[in-house]
Amino acid sequence: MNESHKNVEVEKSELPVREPLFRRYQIKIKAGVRAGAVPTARPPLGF
Amino acid sequence: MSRVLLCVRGGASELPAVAGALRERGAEPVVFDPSAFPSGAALTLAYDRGGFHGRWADRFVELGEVSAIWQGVVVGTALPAMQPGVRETCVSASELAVVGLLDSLQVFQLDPFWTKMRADNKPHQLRIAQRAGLVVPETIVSNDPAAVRAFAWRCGPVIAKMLVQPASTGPADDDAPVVFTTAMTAADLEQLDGLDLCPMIFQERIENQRDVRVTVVGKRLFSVALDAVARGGDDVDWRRQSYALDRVPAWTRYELPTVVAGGVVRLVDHFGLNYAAVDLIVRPDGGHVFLELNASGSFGFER
Repeated sequence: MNESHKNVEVEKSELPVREPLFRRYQIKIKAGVRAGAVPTARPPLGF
Repeated sequence: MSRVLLCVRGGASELPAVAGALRERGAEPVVFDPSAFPSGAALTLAYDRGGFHGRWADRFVELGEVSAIWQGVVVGTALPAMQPGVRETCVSASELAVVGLLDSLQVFQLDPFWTKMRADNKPHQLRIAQRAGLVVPETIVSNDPAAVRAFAWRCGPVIAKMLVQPASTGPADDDAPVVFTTAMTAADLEQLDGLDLCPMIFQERIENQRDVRVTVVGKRLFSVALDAVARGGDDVDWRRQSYALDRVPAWTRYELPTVVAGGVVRLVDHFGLNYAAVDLIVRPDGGHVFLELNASGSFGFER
């Protein structure tokens, strides 16, 4: 049982890693800024 | 005194203004920061024969204690890095627990989590926007490279954007992954490997004179515009330069044509939202083109 489990793990690690297309367009932005929200330097509230 | 539960990220720039406005109206804001949950705050939901109560950190929340909720549930930002799949499970479970708390209180929510989730489906938005009388870009949503190339051949310049932003894989103090709307080059159209793994949205590139953000509150619309030339160039997504330069975009108040405003209200009404942020483009010929609706979009754009 343990042996066969081990074999499965080995096979998994040998799978080629494929990346989805969006990773080509992905960038990193500053911590704490939500994607889709407004930028860190944004107009103030109250107007 | 009535209490209003503000279940939003502690760092949300709108939070102090909303809390202040509530106090001015004689209501007490009670702030729960869901981003601190689960690793930075304890939450317990208890259901028994007598009903329901919750405990958030050291505070009990009982039925009838709050009269309304403003929620923008984003959980798990303080979770440590974990093995692939493990962190996502922790985030999903945490989200369900917090939403369970909010829904169990059975009071008005601006807006309910599941209402916002349904409204945030971009393909569905396009169909409803069409039915609401708004003009939408020619669009395909696909994981088929051949379909994308055929679409570009027919439409000319195209842009690519996401159905959902990439999930964060690490704690909040790590930089966050984001995919802005991107104009596709001929080389991009050649290189579509990996599209089969994750569908994306492809749209005709709309000639842009202005970006317009409409903040909808009930039936009231607050519109601002950003001059596409003044914001500096050809980028199809104003956020890219704004993030990169950490520069305040020059939003100015904008008068939305009545017929477009009517379409926006019908769209938002369809989804049962009391709040929404709607993005449009104004073409050089003055036509308005609907891009998307964000049920949790930020406000405070206007100067």
